[in-house]
Amino acid sequence: MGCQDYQEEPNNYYAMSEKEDILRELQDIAPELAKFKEEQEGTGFQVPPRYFRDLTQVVMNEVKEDLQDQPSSLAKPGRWWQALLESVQSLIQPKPALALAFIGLLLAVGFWFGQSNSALDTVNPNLAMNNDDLEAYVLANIDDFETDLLMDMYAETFPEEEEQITEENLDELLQEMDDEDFEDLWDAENFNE
Amino acid sequence: MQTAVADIKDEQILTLIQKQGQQERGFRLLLQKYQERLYWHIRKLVIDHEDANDVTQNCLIKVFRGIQRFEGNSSLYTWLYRIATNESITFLNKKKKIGTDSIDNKALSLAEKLQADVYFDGNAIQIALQKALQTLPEKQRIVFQLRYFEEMSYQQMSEVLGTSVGGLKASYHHAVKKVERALKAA
Repeated sequence: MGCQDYQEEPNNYYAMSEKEDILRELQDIAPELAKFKEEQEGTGFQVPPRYFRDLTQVVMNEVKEDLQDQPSSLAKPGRWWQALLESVQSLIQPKPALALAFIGLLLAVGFWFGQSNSALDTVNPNLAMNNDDLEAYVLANIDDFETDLLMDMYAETFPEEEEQITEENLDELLQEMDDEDFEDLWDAENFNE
Repeated sequence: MQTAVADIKDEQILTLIQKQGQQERGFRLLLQKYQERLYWHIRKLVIDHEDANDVTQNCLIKVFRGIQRFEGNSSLYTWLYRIATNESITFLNKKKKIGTDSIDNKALSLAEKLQADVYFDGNAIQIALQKALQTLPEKQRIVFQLRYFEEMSYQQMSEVLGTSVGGLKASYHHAVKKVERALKAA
């Protein structure tokens, strides 16, 4: 079937001692296969005439193209980390370094805001205030509430009250308010949202 | 000529490749020393000459592109075989995705393919051996090939495949038994 010019696989690449070990091992495991191996020369595979010479040429042509395309990375001996180090060093010049620092700062601020918003969006429901907490909070932080705002809120929430709220009696009224009053006040202004 | 190239030490080839202006010369020597062996290794895995030619070319180009990163932790020889084996497996997996043949059909069509192949001149027993190899799981087939055909030590095989010597011995043992049974049945 094959042409006489075709080249077959040579059988002399390998060290004799390893060859003998392999044959001995094979004789132990599968004696008939060992016999077959001793009798058969080669595998029957062939290549066209002068194939390997042509292969060298084809590969070397590709290699030359590669060398022309990437002279800096392949012409210099060295390791991958040296190339990486050089890239980093080229970036750490005064102007690029400033630009990098600025971009880094922007990214950090953006990341912090993102984190803050997402934290606000996901309030743990277990942390919601009960009535006692609410009252304690308003009384403790009463100075933070504007008096006018509180007076308006009070008037809107309790329109039936005869007594007009003024700056003078505000403290007294707040002391008189019970839990329900605080809750009504709170609900009226949608503070729970 | 071939004997002279075979005598060149891997260290000499690597030194040339890493020397500016000597890369081409160094790589040509590497090809002369190893390309045939790599081709035959790939050929026995992918079977068809045209496929083996494509895979070998890709493999050798990858070797050239990666040789600057070769740090000598393994021998050049096992590093080359590792690339050739990986390239062959990638090729076979791609081919497997396209085809839907079962193992039995694959073995059958392989026999027909080999008989029609102008670059195959094997006898009936050699065809039977190739058919038997097609029925082995991929890992066992590669282990069998490296030991039986390439005559590698288990240590070298371990470097090529990244598997323990014990695991390789077990795989080879299973593969050899299966192949022998298949040959007896043929």
